[in-house]
Amino acid sequence: MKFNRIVAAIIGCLVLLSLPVSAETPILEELMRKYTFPLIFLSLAGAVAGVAYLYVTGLLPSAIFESWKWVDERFALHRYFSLAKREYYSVVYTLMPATGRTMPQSHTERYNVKAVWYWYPFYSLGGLSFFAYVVLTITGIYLGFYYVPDGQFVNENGEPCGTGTCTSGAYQSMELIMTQVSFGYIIRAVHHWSAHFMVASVFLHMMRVYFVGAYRNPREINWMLGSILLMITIFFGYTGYLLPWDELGFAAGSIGLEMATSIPAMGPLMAQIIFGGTQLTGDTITRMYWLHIFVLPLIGTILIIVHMALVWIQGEAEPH
Amino acid sequence: MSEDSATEMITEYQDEQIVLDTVNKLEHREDHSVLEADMVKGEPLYPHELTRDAVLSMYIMALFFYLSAFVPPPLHGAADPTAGTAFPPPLPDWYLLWAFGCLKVAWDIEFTIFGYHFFLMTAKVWGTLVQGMIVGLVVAVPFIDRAIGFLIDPQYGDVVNRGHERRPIEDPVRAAIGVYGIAMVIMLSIYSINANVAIYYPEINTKVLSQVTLWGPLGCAFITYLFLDRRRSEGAKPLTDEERFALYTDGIADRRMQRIYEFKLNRCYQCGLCDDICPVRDMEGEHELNIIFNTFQNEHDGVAMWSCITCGMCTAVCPQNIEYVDYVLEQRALTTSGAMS
Repeated sequence: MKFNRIVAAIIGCLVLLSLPVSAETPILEELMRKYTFPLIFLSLAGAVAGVAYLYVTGLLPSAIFESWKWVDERFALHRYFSLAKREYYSVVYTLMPATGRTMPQSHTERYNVKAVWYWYPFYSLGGLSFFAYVVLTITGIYLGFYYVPDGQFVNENGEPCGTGTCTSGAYQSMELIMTQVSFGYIIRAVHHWSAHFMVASVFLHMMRVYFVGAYRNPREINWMLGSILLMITIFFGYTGYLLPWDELGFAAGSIGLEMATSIPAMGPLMAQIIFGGTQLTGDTITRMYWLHIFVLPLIGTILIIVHMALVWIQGEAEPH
Repeated sequence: MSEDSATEMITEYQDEQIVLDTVNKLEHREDHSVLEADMVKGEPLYPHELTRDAVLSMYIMALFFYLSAFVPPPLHGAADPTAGTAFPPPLPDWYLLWAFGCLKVAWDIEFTIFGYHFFLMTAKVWGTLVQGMIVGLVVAVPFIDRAIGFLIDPQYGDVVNRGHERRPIEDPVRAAIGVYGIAMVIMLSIYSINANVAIYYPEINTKVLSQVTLWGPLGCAFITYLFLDRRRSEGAKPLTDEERFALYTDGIADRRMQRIYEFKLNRCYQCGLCDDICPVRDMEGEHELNIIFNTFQNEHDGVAMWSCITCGMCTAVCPQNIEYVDYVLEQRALTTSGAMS
């Protein structure tokens, strides 16, 4: 009885929704086109309502448990779960054993410091640069949908550029992102500013570590990893700076090419590897693109994971 | 050597280490409360640092959107290899200026010995090498640091520097070197935009800039050293035990958060795990003998403070890692030495 009523209500809603549809187009397609967002909203609301129903009836824990069991008997997740749990507690109890944990003397004690809170942001800079890295990844994925890594110089007709004003596929796609793509402007702006913030915070993070002396035993490895990560961040910035292939990027590219060629003994080789030749051509953009979206993220992400794992294991060097 | 035996050796070694650690801790049990212990462990990343970062990242996200909305990212005209170089020339991003400055500040290395002229390297090569040297120095900082300590004090210098983070005021030399590096990077960045500077300030020509680049960082480092050394001699130095006791009693008198124990006790969010685990409370006490509660309320009737067996179980379960035992031991020391408690 109840079920029949629900079905009747749904059919009635569909009929009401289909009233404004004209006879020429297929009804279902027209409906889906017109009511895409309401349908998405309705399905989300339905999911929420379903979870709420399970919660109210008290079935939610058993439902979660059943779905966990369903996944678990296929992938044996309990092994990894218990392993992770054991590792977590082993690390925790190694660092903070129950008996006789040593109590480091803090700067507050040592110097009779009255106010300490303003040091905290300096200790957060590493985490904040990781946050900026995550933001950069998300916005970068969106920009990657529209950016074309085509640096060939062409004129307006698409012919190779001899005289007159030059442009390129990369620059045209940048114009598209800035003017046509929905949210393109704001996404690029967030990418731009979080990149600048990341470089700045990595620099400041290194200064904090230096002036507190946190690079000392046992954290030497982490310092060296961090300085490699600083280099990677700068290379990230540089390669990303060239990608729009505008005047500024071209100028930066010629400076970088000069630097690469002036490395003793292996200058031309480095220029070939990084810039795709001793001249700035379309190949430069292809290489920069590949470095920016694959090589540097791969190395950088691995090193960041190691860097943060070491901080997790060794702890932070004594906040104020 | 087979893999199994290596694994066994590692396992045995670890077991020995654990035994040694335990013995060491038990032997030095008395030192923990007042005196500084040898081993310095870091502050845990989770939950302390992660919480702070989570809060600050909200502000940073807001900052990103604010900047994005009001300061658009630049997109200049398309790159044109046929066009001549503009004046003033476009500059690299701010974080690359120091490298650009290295290239600009470098000179051709050539010299004449006994009438023979040697042309060692061009300015470009020299500038690039300087960048490599800077990066190498930065990577090697932990080892250079110990070497400097050894040079200053051949007997104990590198031992003192081992594994102790300090404030700049304790190491004026290191702070001065750091300030020199930062000032040098800033001056190189300014030097690299000399053409753009000269447009607005014609009196700051390249000659002046190169002199400032040479002597400015040195001056900054010298001033830093003088300032920090003076501060150090004025008395911003580690306190003796008596001074720290006095500090603690004063701190209790005017209720300021000056001891780390108080500071840490204020992290308590009253989950009650310490109360659940406390063996004294489990065996003897009902509501009237709640050691931890009484201590927090500053109600030392003698029972709470002296019936604690300092087993450390409360610290072991504490999610905020509060050193309760140290607090109790400190209170006892203060009481027996006649200070107010």
